[in-house]
Amino acid sequence: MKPARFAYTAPDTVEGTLDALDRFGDEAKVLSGGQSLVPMMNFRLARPEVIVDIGRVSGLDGMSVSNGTLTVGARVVHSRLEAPTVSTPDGRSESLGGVLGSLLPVVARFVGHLPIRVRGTFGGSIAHADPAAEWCILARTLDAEMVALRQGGERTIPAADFFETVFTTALAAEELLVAVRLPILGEDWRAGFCEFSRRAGDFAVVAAMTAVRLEPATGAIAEARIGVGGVAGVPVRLPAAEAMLVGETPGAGLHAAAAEAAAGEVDPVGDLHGSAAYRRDLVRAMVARSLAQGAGASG
Amino acid sequence: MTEISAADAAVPVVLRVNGDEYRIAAEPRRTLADALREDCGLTGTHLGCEHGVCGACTVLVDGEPVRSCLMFAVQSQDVEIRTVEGLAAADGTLHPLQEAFWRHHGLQCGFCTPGFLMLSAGILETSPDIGDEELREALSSNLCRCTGYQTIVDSVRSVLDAGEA
Repeated sequence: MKPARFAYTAPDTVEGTLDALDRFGDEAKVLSGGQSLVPMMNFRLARPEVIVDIGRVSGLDGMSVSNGTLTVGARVVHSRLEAPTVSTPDGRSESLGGVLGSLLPVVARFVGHLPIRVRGTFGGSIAHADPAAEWCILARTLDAEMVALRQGGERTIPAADFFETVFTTALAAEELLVAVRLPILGEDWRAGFCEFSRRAGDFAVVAAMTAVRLEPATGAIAEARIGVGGVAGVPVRLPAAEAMLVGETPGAGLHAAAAEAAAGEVDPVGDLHGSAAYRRDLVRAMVARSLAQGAGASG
Repeated sequence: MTEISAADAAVPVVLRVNGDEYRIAAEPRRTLADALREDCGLTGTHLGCEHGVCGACTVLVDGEPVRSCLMFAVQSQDVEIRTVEGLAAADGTLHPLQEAFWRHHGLQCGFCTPGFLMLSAGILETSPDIGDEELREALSSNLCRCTGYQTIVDSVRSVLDAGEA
């Protein structure tokens, strides 16, 4: 179908954008890459009165590292995270190494299809808040921080508070998500990401991300994070399964036990893409595979 | 204050398509796909699902394959757009991809073909060294209900292997 009518403005600065959001409030919707919003508008599931297009705003598409944190500009497109590069303080561009540098391309390849990835943006995906979206799961698992601006103010929202329910975030109508901060994960971290969908490029039925920090001396797990999407209105962490990993040494038996705990910890609702029991099974499989992937095993 | 275009008024839009300039008037809600078909008369770009799933409307924007049903014409003013009409040479000589789709039976009914051709042109130009698995993954962006895809993969592969880009 065709979208309902809307008024349109395309500011070329952040200030202009905040101005428009302040003026139009709830009537306005921010358009970034449009790969989620425009389908919803074409279906008329979304009928914003005013579209504030941030495609011309400069300064929102940078990536940089400082103090162990990767800052991803809201307008960075998915395809750039298939081979992430960061700007250095002296103005050069270098590829992002380390554990996060290896993980982002793995995750990025699950996001939609090629034509979606070249237009859709990281910040757009986060602000859209689909509970099965890869970047939302990653943000929740790594305790990302969302940087939001409004006229005359800035605030940082932790991932745990940011995602409220399906397609709903803590962002106020007059706020603009400008960047997301992610921990770069030191060399003592092991991370994995696995998802299952019926067809390549679809949203996941269930996706899981895991990250564990190993004690350098003993190889035991000092800290564990398990995040799952597709089982609730927001991406969820699984603290009981995480706790089972801490203090233990990674291995197939431990991974299976943690995956079992994860399957017991989620409370999915069945829909046409999969029953509750099926989703629970998928959680078990995706968590086990993600842990194995992080540990460098095949599965 | 940045200018606001009213919802119910057509605004002047300049599209650069296949090297030609089109001066059209479009409501903000006009998608690029509809603008190409209705306002520019370039009906080679097809519309299937109108929500970004089927890929029939794929065109190149600044050299990259995008869904033209998920862009508005008003967003498309400072970019170079290429559609299936721009593939063949002015004298009608087919583009190597068109030639290959014909030779390898990469089409049957033809509805999805413009989208597949533009997707493939984008792949050919941005990733000429693409591997088999990546190619299949990239071609999985679009839907075809006739061929079963293998002949489409064969078509694009033959052009990549010939290095005709």
